[in-house]
Amino acid sequence: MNQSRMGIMNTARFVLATMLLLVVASGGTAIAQSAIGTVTTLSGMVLDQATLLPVEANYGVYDAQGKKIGQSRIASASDGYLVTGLKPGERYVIRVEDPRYLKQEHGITMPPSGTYTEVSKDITVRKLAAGSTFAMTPAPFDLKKTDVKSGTEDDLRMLAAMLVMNPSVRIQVLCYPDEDLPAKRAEEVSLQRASALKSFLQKEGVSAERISVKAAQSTDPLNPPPVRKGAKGKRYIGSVYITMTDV
Amino acid sequence: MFRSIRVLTWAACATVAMLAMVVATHAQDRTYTTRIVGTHADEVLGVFVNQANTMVATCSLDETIKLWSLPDGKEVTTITGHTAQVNNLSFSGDDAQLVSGCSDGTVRIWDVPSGAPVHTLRGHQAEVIGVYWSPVDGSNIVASTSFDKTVKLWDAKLGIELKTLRGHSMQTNNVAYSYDGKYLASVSDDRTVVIWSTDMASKEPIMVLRGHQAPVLTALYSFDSKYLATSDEYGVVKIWSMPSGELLRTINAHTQLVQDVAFAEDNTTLVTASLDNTVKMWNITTGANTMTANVGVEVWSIDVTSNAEIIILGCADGTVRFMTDTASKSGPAKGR
Repeated sequence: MNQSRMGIMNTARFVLATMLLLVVASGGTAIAQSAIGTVTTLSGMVLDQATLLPVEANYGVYDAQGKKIGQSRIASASDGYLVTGLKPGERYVIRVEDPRYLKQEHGITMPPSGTYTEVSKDITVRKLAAGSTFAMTPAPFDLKKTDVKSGTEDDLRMLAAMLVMNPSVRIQVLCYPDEDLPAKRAEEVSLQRASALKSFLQKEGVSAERISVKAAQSTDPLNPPPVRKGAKGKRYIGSVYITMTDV
Repeated sequence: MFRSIRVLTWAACATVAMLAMVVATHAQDRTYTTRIVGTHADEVLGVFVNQANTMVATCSLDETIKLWSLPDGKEVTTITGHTAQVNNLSFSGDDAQLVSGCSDGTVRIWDVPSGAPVHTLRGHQAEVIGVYWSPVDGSNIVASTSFDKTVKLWDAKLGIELKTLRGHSMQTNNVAYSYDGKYLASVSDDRTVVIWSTDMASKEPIMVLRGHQAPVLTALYSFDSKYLATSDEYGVVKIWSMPSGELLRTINAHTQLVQDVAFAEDNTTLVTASLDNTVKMWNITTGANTMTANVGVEVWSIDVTSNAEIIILGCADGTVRFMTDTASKSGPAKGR
């Protein structure tokens, strides 16, 4: 997998080096810099949000003015994607344009470097299919709290923006409590958390009728609380699942 | 409310401890006295001493980072900005910056000692658990591990992600550079230790070390890069000869998980800390336990000054504790 990926990278480097050599040969370094300029390369994998495994996906690259650069491209499950010839300091948008996945876009500003630079960025995609479910990680709640955790707004805005780009998609929000509680209390916590997420998404432009909430009356059976103290970072917060109910 | 009560309780306990006693610890080869130098508002998850032995940084479940002076233990500053528990941190080789990893999924770069934010690095798909700044002089490369199973390398100067290393089948817990700058070791819930080349063109593991029977929580190279210490959730510590990867020794060090270890500059003294409330010192060439101290509280994190004359503890009750060698004298700077 990585050998073929390295092959692509080496080919890109070879092409760039050859171009540089040709220009240098025809007029010197100063001309070479002005003719080609410093370029940067962006690469990474496209990952399924539910499994974090690499997948194939079609995508396009756009500049800051919204102009598409080149043709649509395909990221492969084995090699990921590779975009060469990007200008340092410029902002670009990678747009997932694949009927298998929700439309989404990711912005990136290439570093203002004076030398050739390779930048890595993984992209996660969500399957566009009724019944498709993904967990929100990290969960946007503090332990035993039901309001949206401060600092998680960026992740939630990305989710909202994706839903706005996919107006036919309807979702169901399911939040589990952090600990074993009586069924009625568990349901209260579950609904309060789901309602908090719904409110946030509404404020970000997703209409209320597209979001339903489901109550849980217990902790997550698929990811239950640990029975003993785990290593640091393994502090348990109840799972949050988003399921596409209609696409 | 819950947190407020707990903070008050810990603060009261800490004050009592500071006023009432200096705890003498049981020791064999070395004797330490323990004191509480200050508190976080919640569990202290990471400790890192700078190269010059003049400062120690701690990070906590309270979402902050604190800097403390060495050897006196005065609080220098509190750094805020993360939006979840801060799991680990590491100074740059020149001590001018600090990197931290957080459960909010970010890696952040901070100026030292001002605490001003330099970069927020986003790219991991889950909680960031381990971070380590390359110890090579002048290096801007930072490594991080995450529950997304990857190891990522970042350029801390440009604020960009450089590459992703994939090889673990479960969440990665921590990462460490060798001090010669040639290797990177990552550890995982998949019970393996993976050794990577720091050559930026390389993405394949050099080797996979197997032997732990539980999730591996941390790894640390000795300063001469000849040994790698790893610890796991069962309290077991393993010593590997590097770069061969030969397993030299298995130490049933603790009865609870060992989240952190620290090498002294002699490259043979290893200090381990555990949720079993003890801190232990080992001679890794003989396997001898040269010091055991029951500090009465679960210890998440640990680091030492050059000769281990001061052992800094990050504890589950929110306290930062200094264990000072009763025969200590100022030593040279920590490092290679």
